[in-house]
Amino acid sequence: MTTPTCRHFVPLLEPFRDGELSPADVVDVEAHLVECERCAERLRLGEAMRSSLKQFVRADAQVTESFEKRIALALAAEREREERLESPAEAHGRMLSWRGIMPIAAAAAVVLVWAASANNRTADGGSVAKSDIASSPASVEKLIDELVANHQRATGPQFTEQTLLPQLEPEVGVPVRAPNFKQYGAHWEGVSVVPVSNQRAASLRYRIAGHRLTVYVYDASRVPVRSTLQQRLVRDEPVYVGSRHGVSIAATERNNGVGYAIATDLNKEESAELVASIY
Amino acid sequence: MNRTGRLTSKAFEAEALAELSALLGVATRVTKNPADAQDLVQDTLLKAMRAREQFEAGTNLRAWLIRILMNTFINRYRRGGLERSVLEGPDADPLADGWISAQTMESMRDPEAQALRPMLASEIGRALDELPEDYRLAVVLSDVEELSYKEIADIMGCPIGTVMSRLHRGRRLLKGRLYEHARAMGIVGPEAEVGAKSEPVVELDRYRARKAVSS
Repeated sequence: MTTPTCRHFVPLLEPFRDGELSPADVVDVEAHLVECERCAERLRLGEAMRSSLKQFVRADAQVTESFEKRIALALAAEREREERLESPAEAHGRMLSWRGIMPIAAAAAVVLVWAASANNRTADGGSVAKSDIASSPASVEKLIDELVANHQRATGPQFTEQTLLPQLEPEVGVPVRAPNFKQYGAHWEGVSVVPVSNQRAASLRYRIAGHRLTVYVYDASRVPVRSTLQQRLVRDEPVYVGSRHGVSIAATERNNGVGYAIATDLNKEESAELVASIY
Repeated sequence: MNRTGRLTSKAFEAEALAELSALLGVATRVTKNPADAQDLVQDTLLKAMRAREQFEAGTNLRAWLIRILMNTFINRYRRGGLERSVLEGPDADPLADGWISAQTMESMRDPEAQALRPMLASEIGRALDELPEDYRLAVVLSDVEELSYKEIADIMGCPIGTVMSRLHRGRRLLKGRLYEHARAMGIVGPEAEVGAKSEPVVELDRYRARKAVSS
């Protein structure tokens, strides 16, 4: 019920929620909220509105892969333009561009080796998931690149409330649950949905002893992550591990067709241990 | 970062790309057109990259980028500047939402999801886009991008008090719109009327205060 003191506190509720009140006012507002259900409800409704607004704005303006590429290209072109202006000697400019090409050539070689080994495994191993994507080495490479690139991007989460995870299921196509890594001291950060191999995967973010950890949850029949990785057994459980650009990838599948893949800068053994702990 | 504190172009590129989602969110809300929003974000980032030495290390990059985005929007996409709201002015009554009872407010929420009930959540985008532009921008910058009042004031070129007023009014309009929608959808029922009837506590208090002054 509204009491006369609400007149004093209502104008403070929004700055309180926005983190803009002085510590003394925060204490007063908190004391009022304990005794005034109506103001407490005003605050909760405000928080619910904020959460729904955030979800709407993020979902309505999703950064597509093509847009991200367009921006990256525009910025890279601008950087090159700056570099040309800063080093007017044409010969030096040519040297720079060759220096730029070398890592790209090296990366291309790695991609070829990786793709070839993935092909061999596809031919040898009978347990590789069948899909259009798995049959194309280029797509398989792109898939791992996407997982690594998304992990390395420090984009903010779509939301942080674990209770909202079921809302992602229609988009991702499988049940989305947050694995509990508390025994490893992991700290939950939030979730977003990312495009992976023309499908959508939930990207769950954690932090573990200062390392960023991304857990992808996806439809294993459509996103063949494990087909590019080496099989290992952790506590008699098959997991699939690999690494790229200093990022370890470890994947597993559960009986209900849910795939889990972890991307982290921890080593392969630690990543395999983490992914095997998911049940 | 180099010795002068200036971000190198590569470092800037990486940090700016991490803000892409926030920039596109704000751009979409101000242009109301996905293609214009993408162009606006690209223009913003190129401008920001060229002006990156003006960015003060240690301050909020997102707020700085959004300020460039809004200046670009006003100069290039909207020559006339931001729409000035006709609803400016001091707040007459901070308890103007008194007609919504706690019970009604509660039934508009989904306590498990800590968000609005799904039927209301689907309405919130439309309600947001129908807000006067200044209110919409203030609400998006605070509630979605989590900028401080000071950062919003810098972006909108107005005093902090005006930011607070726009935020309050924008949120109140949103709440009113959602309440109307909840009534129409049958999410809230007659208990709203009960809430309205409980309001005389305030009215009586106001009456006594006025009487004390006049006597």
